[in-house]
Amino acid sequence: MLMKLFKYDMKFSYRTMTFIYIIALALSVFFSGTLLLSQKLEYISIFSVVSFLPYMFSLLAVTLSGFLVVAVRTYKNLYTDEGYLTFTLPVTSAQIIWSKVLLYVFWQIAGILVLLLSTALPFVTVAYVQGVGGEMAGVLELAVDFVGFWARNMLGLDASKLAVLISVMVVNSLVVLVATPVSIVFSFTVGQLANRYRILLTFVAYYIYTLVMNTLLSVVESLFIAGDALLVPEANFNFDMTAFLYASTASVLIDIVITVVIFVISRNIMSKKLNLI
Amino acid sequence: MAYIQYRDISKNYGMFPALTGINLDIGEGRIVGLLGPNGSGKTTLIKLTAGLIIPSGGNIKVCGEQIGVQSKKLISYLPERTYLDETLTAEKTLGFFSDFYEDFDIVKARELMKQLDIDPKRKIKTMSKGGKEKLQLALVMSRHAKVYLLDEPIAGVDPAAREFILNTILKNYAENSTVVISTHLIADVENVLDDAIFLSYGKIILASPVEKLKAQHGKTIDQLFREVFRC
Repeated sequence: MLMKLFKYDMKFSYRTMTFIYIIALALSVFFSGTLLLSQKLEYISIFSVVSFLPYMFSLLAVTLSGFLVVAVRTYKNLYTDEGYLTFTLPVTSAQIIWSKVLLYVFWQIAGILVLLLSTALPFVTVAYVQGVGGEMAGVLELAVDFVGFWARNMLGLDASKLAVLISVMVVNSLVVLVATPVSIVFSFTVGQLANRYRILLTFVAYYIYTLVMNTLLSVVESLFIAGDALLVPEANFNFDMTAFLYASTASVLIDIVITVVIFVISRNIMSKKLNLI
Repeated sequence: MAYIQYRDISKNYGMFPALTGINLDIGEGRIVGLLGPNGSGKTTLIKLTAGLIIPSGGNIKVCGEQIGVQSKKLISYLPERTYLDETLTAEKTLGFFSDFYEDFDIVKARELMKQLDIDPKRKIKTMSKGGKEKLQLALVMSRHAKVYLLDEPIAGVDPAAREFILNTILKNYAENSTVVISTHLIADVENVLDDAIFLSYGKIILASPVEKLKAQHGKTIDQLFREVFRC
């Protein structure tokens, strides 16, 4: 049943999302094209200037669209008249939440790919126009070397610690990928408890969630990492990487615990306190 | 076995009691009229049975199942509003029902849509209110459900359409299943009902087979309703 719910969530969103992605890619191609042509025809550069802003807006739209489409789908599918159908389907509340999580994960991954393509294209074009393709590759290599040097000498990281750090960061990204749609469902689910001003209560619930989350994360970081060692590592050559790893791991754990808590709360409200008007 | 069993059901909206002390058994193969004026608790009782809201107290069972995923498989519910995803076409909505309900008869649904003059390629958002209601009715009555919960299916339509809707319901509900119809338009439904339940201010004030009521009071159900709920 979960995949069936996901299928209809996708049907709801794919037109809007593919439209945004195609626009972003088209603007990227157009912007890159103007950069290329302006080398031969100077007046074309005006198009580069004109298309830059829409191009940047399209990247912003790609970045925000995953969040927004899940928010709109959650609200419409669960807490408008459509909820009368959704909540009489033979599915569990947990399946309803998971389908929104899958929707978000799918569009976020697609969005990241579109963002990579859309931003890489103008860079590659510039490199080609300037005839610095080889140098660009060199610059990239240099950047990787620099990060390695910085990690070894400033943070005192060896290869195994660096691998752990990267793993923690990857896990954190995955947790955020699940936590975000769960927080959206949670906020709307709390919002529907009110008989009036439901959207307002939704925003309040989301604000409180982010406030609690950020406060806890700050507390954990300050517990593990003293002073400004994290922000200005060069100020402290004895920067304690182990503490940083503990802090990151604790942050991930807090994120997981809070996500599980708001997932359970949302599921219980859907099962026991549904308030469709 | 009772198809629907209500035991000590109460439902409060904040401080306001919408239903109190509901004890009722609805048997197999009955057409039941849930009758009462606006605000008497008809929709609340139907929503409780459909699993859309949770009782403040008491217990409901449908074919022996507590309200949940299993009971939702057995119930075909028609709300008093449009509940379909309006971005879909009528044909895609058939696919939706077919995906989620094992007892959905897509051939019957297509036939009903044809009879009700519904264009399968048309998006729901472009349909008239009446068109949407007809489509919902076709979808709900195309399930081979154990229980049909129809909330005000004939409200807001002209008398000719009422007759058509009632005929559609009567011709299409699955054999041996139970149909619960909530309405305040008694005259239109009384001839098709096996049982009548009168609700007033959230309480059952009368529940009996229609023939017995008629014989006891020497009146039609409509006349009895007007007498009981006289302002």
